[in-house]
Amino acid sequence: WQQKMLRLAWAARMKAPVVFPAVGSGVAMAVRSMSGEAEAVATQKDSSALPHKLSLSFMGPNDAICTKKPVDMVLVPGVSGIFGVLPGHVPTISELKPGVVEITSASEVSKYFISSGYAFVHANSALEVMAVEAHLLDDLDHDAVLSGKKEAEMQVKNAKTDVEKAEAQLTLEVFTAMAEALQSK
Amino acid sequence: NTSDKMEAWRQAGISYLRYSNICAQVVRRSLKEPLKAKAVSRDAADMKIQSFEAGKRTAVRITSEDK
Repeated sequence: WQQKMLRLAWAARMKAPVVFPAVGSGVAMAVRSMSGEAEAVATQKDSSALPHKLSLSFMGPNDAICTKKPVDMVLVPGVSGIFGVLPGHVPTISELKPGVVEITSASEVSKYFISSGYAFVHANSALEVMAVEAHLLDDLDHDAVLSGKKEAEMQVKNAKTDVEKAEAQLTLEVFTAMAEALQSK
Repeated sequence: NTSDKMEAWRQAGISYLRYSNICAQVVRRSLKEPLKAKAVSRDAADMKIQSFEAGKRTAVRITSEDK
């Protein structure tokens, strides 16, 4: 940003229009100078100048799976539905439900099951996925998931108070999500 | 529109913190060993409770030392 401002000041003195290269920035600024003052006019984002990669930071409270890693696409389990994030995605904040985060990078796909969290898409094609627990699908114990799911179904039936019922229902939802994730591995 | 509805757990009186902790607990207990042992140790949260009466410290309770 500082460099851009320096170039603007230089252009103002030279009284010449300056076009900033769109590589890596996606924004071209044209400068007109009238009476020695620089006037910056931002033109429309040129679609051919969009970044080619998403910068992904996928982290939890204990560790980070990746920080600012360039990837092609990430599928994210939002509470209103699964959505895909590509470079140039509109800035978004989304709460995440228990589900699978699928990262595609150079035709390699990695799937992580997350317990819950948030996803932030920034204007510069940076995506941050924060999850409390994030594990590769291979690290989930298939038998434990199925037996846990059965147990949770029993607990939903036996729950008495509202809170107990909601917690049992929630537990069942997480087990169901894990079972589905393992099935579609 | 799902964004207008209060989520089921919120309606039942569960806070977001409890919701995310329950989800995390379920996932931790479904991991394969040796990851599971390490993860389940993250489940535990202990606290030291210091009681005060009229400005003076009275009882101390450390939950990790509860029997």
